[in-house]
This record gives sequence, C-alpha cells and structure tokens, in this order.
Amino acid sequence: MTPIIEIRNLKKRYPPSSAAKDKQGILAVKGINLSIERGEIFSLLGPNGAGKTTTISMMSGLLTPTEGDVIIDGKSIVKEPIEVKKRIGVVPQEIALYPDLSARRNLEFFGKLYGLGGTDLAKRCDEVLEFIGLKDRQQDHVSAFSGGMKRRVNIGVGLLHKPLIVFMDEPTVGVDPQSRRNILDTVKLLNQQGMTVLYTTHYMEEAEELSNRVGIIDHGELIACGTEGELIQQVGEKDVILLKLGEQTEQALGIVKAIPGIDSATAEEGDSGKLRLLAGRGRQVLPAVIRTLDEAHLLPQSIEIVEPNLEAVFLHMTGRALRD
Amino acid sequence: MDFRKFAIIAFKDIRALLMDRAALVINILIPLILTFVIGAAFSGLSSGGSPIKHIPVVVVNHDAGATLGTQQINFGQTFTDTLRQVGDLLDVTILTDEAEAKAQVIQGKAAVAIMIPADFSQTLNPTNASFGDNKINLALFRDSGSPLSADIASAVVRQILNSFTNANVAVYAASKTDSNPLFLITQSGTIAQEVGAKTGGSDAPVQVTTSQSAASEGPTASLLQYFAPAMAVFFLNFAMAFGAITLLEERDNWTLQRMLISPTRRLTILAGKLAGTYVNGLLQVTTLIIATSLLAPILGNKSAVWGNNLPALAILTVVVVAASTGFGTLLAALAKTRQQASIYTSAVLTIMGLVGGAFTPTSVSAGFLSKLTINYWATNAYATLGQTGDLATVLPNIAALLIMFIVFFGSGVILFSRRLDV
Repeated sequence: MTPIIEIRNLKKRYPPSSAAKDKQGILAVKGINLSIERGEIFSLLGPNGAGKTTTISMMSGLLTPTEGDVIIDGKSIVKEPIEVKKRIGVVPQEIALYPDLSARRNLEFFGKLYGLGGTDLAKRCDEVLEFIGLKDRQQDHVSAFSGGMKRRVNIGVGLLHKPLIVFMDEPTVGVDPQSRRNILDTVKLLNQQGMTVLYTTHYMEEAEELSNRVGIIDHGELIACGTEGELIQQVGEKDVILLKLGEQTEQALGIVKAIPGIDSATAEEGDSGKLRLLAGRGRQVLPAVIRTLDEAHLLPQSIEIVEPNLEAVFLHMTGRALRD
Repeated sequence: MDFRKFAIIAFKDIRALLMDRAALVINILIPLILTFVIGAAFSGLSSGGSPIKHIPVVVVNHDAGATLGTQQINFGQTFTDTLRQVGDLLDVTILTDEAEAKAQVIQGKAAVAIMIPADFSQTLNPTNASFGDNKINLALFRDSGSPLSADIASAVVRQILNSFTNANVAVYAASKTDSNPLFLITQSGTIAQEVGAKTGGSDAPVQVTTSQSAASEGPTASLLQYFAPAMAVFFLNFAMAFGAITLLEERDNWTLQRMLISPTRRLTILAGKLAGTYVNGLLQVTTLIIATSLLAPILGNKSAVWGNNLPALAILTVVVVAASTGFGTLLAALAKTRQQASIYTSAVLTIMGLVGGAFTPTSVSAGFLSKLTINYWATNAYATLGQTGDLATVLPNIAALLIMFIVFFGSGVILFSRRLDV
C-alpha cells in the first residue's frame, strides 16, 4: 500500500538568538524518516520539547524545513505547499480562534480561506457545529466558552474542508477529563469515517488508546516506531521495578544485581537516586528485593512497578520517564 | 495573489474595527475634541500676545537703487538690514523670486513675504527734486494660516518703514538747509523720531498694501484649517501603527498561524491584513473631515476647514493614509513582540507629532527634523489645500509622502515576510 504521508530525512535548525553562545542554532528535528498509511491513527509520543510540534509545523507548511521533505498524498510540502495544505486539516495545540467572533463566524472565516463559500460553507458549518456539539451555541462569542468548548471549535475549524488527513497537536492539553474523553472519542469517530490522523501527545494512555502505530520521539529523533505490541517487544516484555534509594543507590546496585529473577539493574541517569531493575515477573521477585535490601540496612524510600507499556518503552530507550 | 482571500482578510479587520467602540472613540472622537480645544486655545493667543520668536520673514528686494549726492545708495538693502537687526523676533531670508516668496508663505514656511519695489530708493531719495510727490507701494503677503506670527511681523515692518521714511523726510528737510545728507542718514534713527513726531507719518511716501495667502474669515477659521488635519494625521499615525501591530497580536493568538496553514499565500495574508488597516485609515480621516466640516460652522467658523477642492482632498488623503500605513508597518515589523511594538510605537509617534507640528503650527516650530515626519508634510498639505484649494501647490508634499510610503512600506513588508516564518 502506498503511504499517504512520507517524511524523508526531515530536519529543522532554528537560527541562533543574538545572545546564544552556539552560533549554529538549535537542531530541533534531526532527520526524521517515517511513513504513515492511509486510514491510520498514528501517534507521535514524546515529552515536551521533543520536537513533535516542530515536526507537525513543517508537515503543515508553517515552518520551512532546513532539510528533507514531506510528501502528502503524492505532493511535496516544499514544492507544492498550497496543494498539500488543501489536503490536510490542522488542529494546533493553541486555541487559534478569534475570541471576539462567534463560533460560527470563526468557522466561516477560516472556511473561506479553504475556498469554501455560499451554501457549501453554510452546510459545512452546520455539519461541523453538529459534530462538535455546539450548534445551539454557534452565535456565542468564543470568549464566552469554556476551555473544552474552545478546544472543540478549534478541532472543528480543522475539519471544515473535509481534509484527507488531520494533524492534531496535543489537542487535550489543559482540558478537563470530560472534554478529554470527548476529544478522544472525536478522533476515533473521524478515523472511522476514513480520515487519516496524525496525533501528537505526551500522554502514554492517549497513544495507547488511539493509535494503530506509535512513533516515539525524543530530542528531535524518532527513536522507535511500531504498534504498541511491537514496541513492548523491543524492551523484552519485562516489568520495570523502580527503587528510590537516594544516596545509597550505588551500594544497593551491587546487592540487587545478585538477586535471582533480576535480569538487569542500572542506576537512572542524573541524580534522581533511583535504581531501575528489569525482571520477567516483577511482582514475584519484589519480596526478595525488599528482604535483601533490608538485610543490608538499605531501605528504599519508594517502590514502583512499571508493567510493559509505552512508558516503559520510553524509559527503556531514553533512561527517562515521559513526564520528566 | 488570490484577491478573494485578500478581500476576506481585509474585510475581517475592517469589520472588527467598526465593531470596536473603544477604537472608534480613540480614532474619531478624541481627535475631534482636541481639534477644537487646541484651535480655541491658539486663537486666544492671537489677542493676548505670546512670546513668539524667530518668525520667518522672506524679503524680495527689487530696488534698483539711486544716486545720493556722489554715492550709489540702495534703500531696499538698508531696510532689509534694519529688519535683520530687530533681534530674535524675526528670521529674515532674502529671495530673488517673488513667486517663490509667496509659495513659502502659502506652504507655511514664512509668516510674511515683503516685496520691495524697483523704484524704492528712487522714490525715497530725499535729494530728488520730486521727493514727496510720488508714492510707492510696499507689498506684504501674509500667511493667513499663521495670523499671530503674520500680525507681529507686519507690525514690525510698518514700524521700521515709518522710522525709515521719516528719516528721509528729515534728510529732505535738511537738504533744503544745505546740510550734509550722508551725515543725516547715518543719524536717521534720531532724526526720524524728531521728524516723525512733527509729520505724524501721515505724509509718508511709502504705502503698505497687504494681501494674504487665502481668504480668511478670522483667526479661528485658519487655525482650524491647521489643527483639524494636524490632529487627524497625529491620530491616524497611531491607528495605522496599531493596525499593523494586530499582525503580531494574531501571531500571539495563533490565528496568524492558522491562516498560514490554510492554502493561502503569505503575500495574500500580509496584503489583506495591511489593506484592512489602510481602509480603516481612509474611513477614519474621511469621518474626521466630514465631522470637522459640519461642526466648524456650528461653532462660528464660516470658512471651509478642508477647502472646497474635493478631488484634490481625496488624492491627498489617499497618499497621506498610505504613508501612515507604511510607517506603521515598519514600526510593527521592527518589533519582536507585540508589547515591545506598543511601547516604542507610542513613544516614536508622540515625538513625531511634537516635532512635526501636531500641537503647534509648523511656521513657529519648523526645523529640519520636522521635515522627516509624515505629520509635517501631511498637515501642511491639508492646511495649504484648505486655504488655496490648489492641488499643484501641495505636489511637493504629495511627492514627499509617496517617497515615505515606498521606503517605509517596502522595508516593513520585507521585515514582516521574514518574521512570518514563525
């Protein structure tokens, strides 16, 4: 099957600020290669500052790539940006709406920029307002809406022109649980209607719930890509036991390595004072770990078992938690 | 460029301004009130006197000279030298072309032009047998837009002229008694007072005829002709700069990025935004022109504040708003953030207004710096057009404003285009 999105060696270097010591600037995206199939929900999972928004900004034509290209439905964002923009809908992380205009006026204004007009525009506005559940509030100014309602209008604007693909950049940031649920259901519904979705998030649960495939991005690099199962297989489907020992970490490291059932033990990067143990069955081996440490008069301040999931994959690959 | 999308973006901004009551008060009501308040304040000065200095006066000396005894004399030159010795009150400039002198008055660069006739020395020659038989006219051409300065300058001219001609009368009287005429001329000040007191100046051979740059119904009317455009241009500059700053506001609110990710070219977005600002400027100035024209007669002014040449007024307004939009674009484009732009734009435009004559007529405050401002060229063009109704007289102003538009707008658009790669 021909992919609907092909990202080829995509790089972005931001120019240095006048005060910056490094006159080369910052390489925010370091050469990403990725293909997304038609009808997929693909999530880019990574912590804040990983390069997710920069990648989406280049894919949507907002930023010019320093190097590389993005081919969407056979069109190059570098060579044919207008053609690409007609095929994509973008839901930015920020509420990109005019607060002094009504929900409908916002939809109408941006709809016109996508070439809609007359009865087509009116019909699409009605459909979108119905879809986001705000038809009865369509004449209210956006400034009078709750955060969740603004998010829904923000999504609605991205869907007006019936795009082939929708890019959603962390659309649940700062919303209440109910609105978050509503947004996730909306994404699923759009996908059921045949839309390809590229979804960025730093919430592992969202990526797990929504995605056909996940790409893990960190420091501007795509460090892993595949289905949730494929990614978990990469870390050997093992549980991770996190022990916080503070200054006694080094002393404990030598002791716990010898415990039967512990496959590996490493100290976490930085000065977190944590030990990371990999075990086939974490819950079974845990009593032995506590007993051994107790005998050595090393009592952990906290104990956490992370069962195989995307968080564990990220931790395994970067040595850091997603939320760090 | 997609003109449909261009119009959509421009119309959005026009509509937003028309719906914004605070903006309407700032852009229309405040300049309207200030026009009449400052106009009234300055009209009070003309009756109460004020410590005005350096009133610009231009002199065209056509005097061909005469022979006094064995020496060649030029009373026109002597008269001009006397004007220059008045002190700080007058700034005297000598010109050779009468039309140019009048043009300077029309343009507000001089309060009065003095035209000394060719037979000035000949007629005033006290050794001439026909002295006293002929009378000559010394023509004063006043700036009706600067009545206070013109009144002061005219009064000084008459005073010097009286003293001067009285001295010649004294010489004439002395010559009748075979005294040395050259000695008497050097003592003219003293003798003039003595003889002037005897003659009362009523028989002076020089008559002063006065005309002015345009028919004026009184000082308040002409001051309004200055302050109405001065205030309009001052507030227009603010409106245009803050209109351009909405681009930065849209960037902060991410609506600019949303436009940029739509299938719309960057140039169309930028042009649409600035066109919206420009049309808002046209509406603002047009509203002020109509409002001041309607209010001025109600407040007792009979003359047309903006003149009667509507096509010329329309052409000038189109150019003035363009120059102002260009400058606003450049100011906004130079800033990295909206807050930064707001702060220094206010400072720059206030200083530009002060230097460019927004609060004092440029005939009083003019200097080289003022000529670098849109306020100077625009306000004087409107004031001149209000007085003369002649588009040709303001063509230099229009040219200056067009150059400003090209330079400011071009630089602003280039800078903005770079900043749009958000």
